[in-house]
Amino acid sequence: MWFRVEPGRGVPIYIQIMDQIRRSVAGGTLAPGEQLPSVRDLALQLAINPNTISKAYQELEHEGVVYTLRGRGTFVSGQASALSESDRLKRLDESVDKLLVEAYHLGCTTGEVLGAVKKRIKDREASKEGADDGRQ
Amino acid sequence: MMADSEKAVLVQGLTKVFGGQEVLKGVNLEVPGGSVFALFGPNGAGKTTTLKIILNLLQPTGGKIEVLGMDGVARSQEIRSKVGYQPETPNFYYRARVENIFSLCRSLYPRWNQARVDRYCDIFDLPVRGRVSDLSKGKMTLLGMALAVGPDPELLLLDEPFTGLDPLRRRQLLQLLVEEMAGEGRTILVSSHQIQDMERIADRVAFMVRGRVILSRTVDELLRDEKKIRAAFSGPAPEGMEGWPGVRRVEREGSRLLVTVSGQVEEVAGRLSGYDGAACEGIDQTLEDIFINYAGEGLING
Amino acid sequence: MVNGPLMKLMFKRFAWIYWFILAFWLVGWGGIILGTTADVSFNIEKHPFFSIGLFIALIWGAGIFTREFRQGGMMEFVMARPVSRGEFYNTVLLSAAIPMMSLMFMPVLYTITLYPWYHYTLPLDRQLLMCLAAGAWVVVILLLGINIGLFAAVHSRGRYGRAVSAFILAVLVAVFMNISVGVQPVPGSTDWMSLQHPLPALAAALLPAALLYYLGRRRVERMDI
Repeated sequence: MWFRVEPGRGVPIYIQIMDQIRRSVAGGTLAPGEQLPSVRDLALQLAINPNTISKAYQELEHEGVVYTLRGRGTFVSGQASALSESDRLKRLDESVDKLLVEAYHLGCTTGEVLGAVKKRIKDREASKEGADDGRQ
Repeated sequence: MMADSEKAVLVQGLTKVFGGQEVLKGVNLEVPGGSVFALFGPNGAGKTTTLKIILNLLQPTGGKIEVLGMDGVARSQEIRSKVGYQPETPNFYYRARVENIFSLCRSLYPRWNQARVDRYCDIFDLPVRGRVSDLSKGKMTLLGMALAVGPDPELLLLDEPFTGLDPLRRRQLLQLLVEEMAGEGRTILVSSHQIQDMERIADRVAFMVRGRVILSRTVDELLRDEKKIRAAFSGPAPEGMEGWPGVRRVEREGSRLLVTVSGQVEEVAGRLSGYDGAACEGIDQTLEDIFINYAGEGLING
Repeated sequence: MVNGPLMKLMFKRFAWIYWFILAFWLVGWGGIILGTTADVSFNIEKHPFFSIGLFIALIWGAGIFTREFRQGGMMEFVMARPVSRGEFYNTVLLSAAIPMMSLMFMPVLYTITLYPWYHYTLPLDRQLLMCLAAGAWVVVILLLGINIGLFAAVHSRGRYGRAVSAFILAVLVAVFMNISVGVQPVPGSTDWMSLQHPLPALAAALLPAALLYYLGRRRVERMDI
């Protein structure tokens, strides 16, 4: 498994890795129950500090994205976020802010933005079902 | 192997005077066992001098040094048997062959892991039967690295280990360093100018400027706490912001303010947005930005 | 308190001196065998081994730590390993003292290898004692050179370090030249002492040798490498 690590981006590397795992889980490329590479293997492959990988895994476990079985490894959980209500909403706000910056510069109306969001949600659900069917 | 909580290197109030010139002016450094510690600083900041004093190649003028729990001066010989050192400019017996250097080192250390050295030579394509004087600058650096890991050291002191290396070799070296710390929990203290490479592997960084350590934090803390905030106001901009807790510097960009914040980012942003028609925007800083920020300040204010 | 592996390295490094001694002996030996048929008697006083030894010891000693090991980076290379400074000092000193001593024993080497053709004015046992005394004084001068060299190295950043050591070296060379110019050794000089009174000369060398050894060692143990 490969992740893009960009030192010098101003974002801690463990957060860069967390974001990519989250994205893969949300997009369905990482299925629930799938095993993630071990800390040591991933550290060697990406040439980054093993503590950084551990930290990313721990934070993801804390959020409920993955779970760890002692002696067996780290697995994708596929459950809803284990974060608190306020944390979840705060994170959502941050992402919505990014979307709104883009919409402002594109000159989109409120209706266009809401319509696009709804459409994307439908598309993703459809493709995720397709992926699940394919896997079964 | 040491417990994580122990300090692999502890330097307190270290001073060094060379011919009447104070090169180190009270260096404090704490390197936790099992961590990777990166030492950044402009040329002449005293990084090499500090590393050499840790090995007792240079005598401290004042201050306290403890390495692997031992007194840095009194028990330096014992310390050196457990420390692998890669010098900034590798000095070898140039007429010798690489393998002769290995056999000399093997006989000088109580413990020597030739299999490990051979593996490094293999990875780095070092000509074992060739003469040291025929090696390129990059190969010389890599030979220094192979020699440093030979004694299975508890502490690795690396002085500019990426000098003269191409991207492929740099990546190989990084992976080997990761292997060193993942496998056996070695402590690694590196001085380097390659901030981005060090960001990959360092747990902690320290910035040295003009013979002092001006900052020593974990990488994650630095990236989290050191931010800039750009703020614009429709009304009058706040005065006396330099005095606010967390604010390190305020620059004017026309009618806007660029505020450099250390810690308390949210508090400062919150306080700013309380002003008339304030628009705030947080900007991430890279490790390099932060370094140049702090180091530049140290150089100007002296 | 000598480091074995390091000693081996030093022998390799100083191999040229042994080759020099061998060549010197061969040339002298060949010259005598080919050039003379008659019975030749050898007057030790006319052979300037001692003066040559003093010059070499002084100049070589002054550069041995500083030029050979410190500037070339070899001292740093060795001292980054688990070798104590005392060990390093002893090893380098011994590896330099042995060839200097060997040089002083060359008259004996001639005597033994040239025996029927070549006679000394002195009996062999007295010769041995004399060479030993001369060797001891050459080692004293070696130690003096080492101390001068270390002084210059330690004060190389100061203004006068190099000037002072250059001056001392020049004075010493001048003194040695005066001693060796006369065919007859100056009474009271070390040369004369080792020739006429080898036993007291040997004893007299011990005190300065010990003192200079101690001073040099202290310097090496406290210096920056």
